[in-house]
Amino acid sequence: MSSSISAATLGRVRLVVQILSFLFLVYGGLLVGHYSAEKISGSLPALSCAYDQLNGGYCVLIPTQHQLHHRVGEALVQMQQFSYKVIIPLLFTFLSFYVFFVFLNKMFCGWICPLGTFQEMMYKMSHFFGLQKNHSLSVNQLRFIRPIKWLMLAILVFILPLVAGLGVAPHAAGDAFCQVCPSRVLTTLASGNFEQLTISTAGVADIIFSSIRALLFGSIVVLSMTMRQPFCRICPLLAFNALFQKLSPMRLVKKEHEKCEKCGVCTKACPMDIQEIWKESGSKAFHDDCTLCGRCAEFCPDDNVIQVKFGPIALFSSSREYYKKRIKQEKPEGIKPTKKAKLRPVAVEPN
Amino acid sequence: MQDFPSSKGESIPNELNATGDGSFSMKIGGKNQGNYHWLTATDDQESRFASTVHYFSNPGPAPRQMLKQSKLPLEIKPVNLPREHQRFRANENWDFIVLSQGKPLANATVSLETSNDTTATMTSNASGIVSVNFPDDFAAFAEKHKGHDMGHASHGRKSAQFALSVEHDNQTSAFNYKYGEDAFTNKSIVPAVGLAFGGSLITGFFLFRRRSA
Repeated sequence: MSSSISAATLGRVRLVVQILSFLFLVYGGLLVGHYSAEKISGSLPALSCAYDQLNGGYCVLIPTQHQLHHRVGEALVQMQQFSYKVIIPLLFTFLSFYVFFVFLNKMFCGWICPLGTFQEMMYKMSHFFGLQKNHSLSVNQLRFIRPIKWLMLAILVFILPLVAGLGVAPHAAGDAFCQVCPSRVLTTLASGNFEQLTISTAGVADIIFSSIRALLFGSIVVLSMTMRQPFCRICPLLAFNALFQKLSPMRLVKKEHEKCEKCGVCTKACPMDIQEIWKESGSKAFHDDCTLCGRCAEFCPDDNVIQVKFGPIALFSSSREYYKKRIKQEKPEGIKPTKKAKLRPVAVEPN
Repeated sequence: MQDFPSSKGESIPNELNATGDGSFSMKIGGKNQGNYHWLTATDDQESRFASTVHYFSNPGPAPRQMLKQSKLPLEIKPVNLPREHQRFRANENWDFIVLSQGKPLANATVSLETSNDTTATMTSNASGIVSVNFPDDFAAFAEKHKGHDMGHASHGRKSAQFALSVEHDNQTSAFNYKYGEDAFTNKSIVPAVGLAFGGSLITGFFLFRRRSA
């Protein structure tokens, strides 16, 4: 498989998968009909929105919030009704999620998520129009930003829906993350529906949530022109997926290598600026922030140092030959290489 | 209280026992038996039929099969039912189909009545389809009934009842359900676009400052 992927480059294969996934997750309802999520999954580990009229709402965070809100929270209010039956739907949601997740792990983030694809396209487009300036994040900035996704998961996906179910927070907090999710705006806009890019005046909480959503969407659009994957860095679904990442045979593997210390190209290639893929090895190299896009393996200039593996099978391995080919197409930072000045042909005197 | 039967997307007729005042209650049991369930009522002469759906928020099969199945000699039913999060809404067009003995009934006169006092008539096409544009009659009704209780608002959104009825061969059939306000009621695009634009400007400003630094 490694050689067949090498022929097309992993990056190009991923681009095709991303475009097809985007089209399917946004317009799939047109293809497979109304209630399309029922045919695929309502617990997919990628941001895809329930607010689209035809698309079915595939994202696992939707049922998670709903069940915490309407089942667990409301059952806690009436303690006598709280039983294992209340938890079972939530467990089924996680199980349905895991059925998909076990095969692809966080490739759902790096290969399938429509918002991830949109951000990557924006980054490439901005370079095309000469706008792009690569803003990588420093170690100190990452130290500050990395916990945000965990806070988003805890507060917006788990705590607020539960508190709304208890009747303490307003109803709008019952799907607090969906209320601010930029993918909700993106996927509905892409299907010609402007309803989610609105300020709702139904209540104070609605005004606050819809204002944050609009501001966040605007910021993500601009940020993604200068920085790779800005929303992924704070995405609660990445954190949710990270909770399960060790439970899938699909993973990133890195061996220790003496040249690594002076290299660091893998971190430059990583859209999430993960330093650990450069400085660590073994399980520590497969960081919580990793989206399994495979760029680190593509741009590692040494043989078999970084691999994307499914169980014992190496699906893709870094190699010197591949690196030489890949670096001609794209710099590790995700931008096109600058063209070298053409050499003039030199007339060779015959002997 | 009666257990509602498992449908697996297909309509399995099951008689519900009504009390003296005509009311009844039902519940679903077991996993994956939520979503939409179909209810019909027939008079003694089997000439008047009424249908509706009840939505359980628990997971359950999509109502495709349920909608395809013919359940009454004369029926009018939606081609698609709104997904969870969605509803029939004012100013939206939804297709309904009129069937007689399970076959599409062309040129049938369909009457729409809403609890907001709107009435309208439509005619089904050659395929028995009638496209219903739900009326935006909430504001007018509220104005007319100022000071009265306007009923229940689910999730902060108002809804009203509607009945679509059709007559054919001395039979009458009606589909009863609810519809909500227009999608953009209490929602404004302009401030949202302004905020999104503001968000991009603020972000752009900080990025520019960072680059300059």
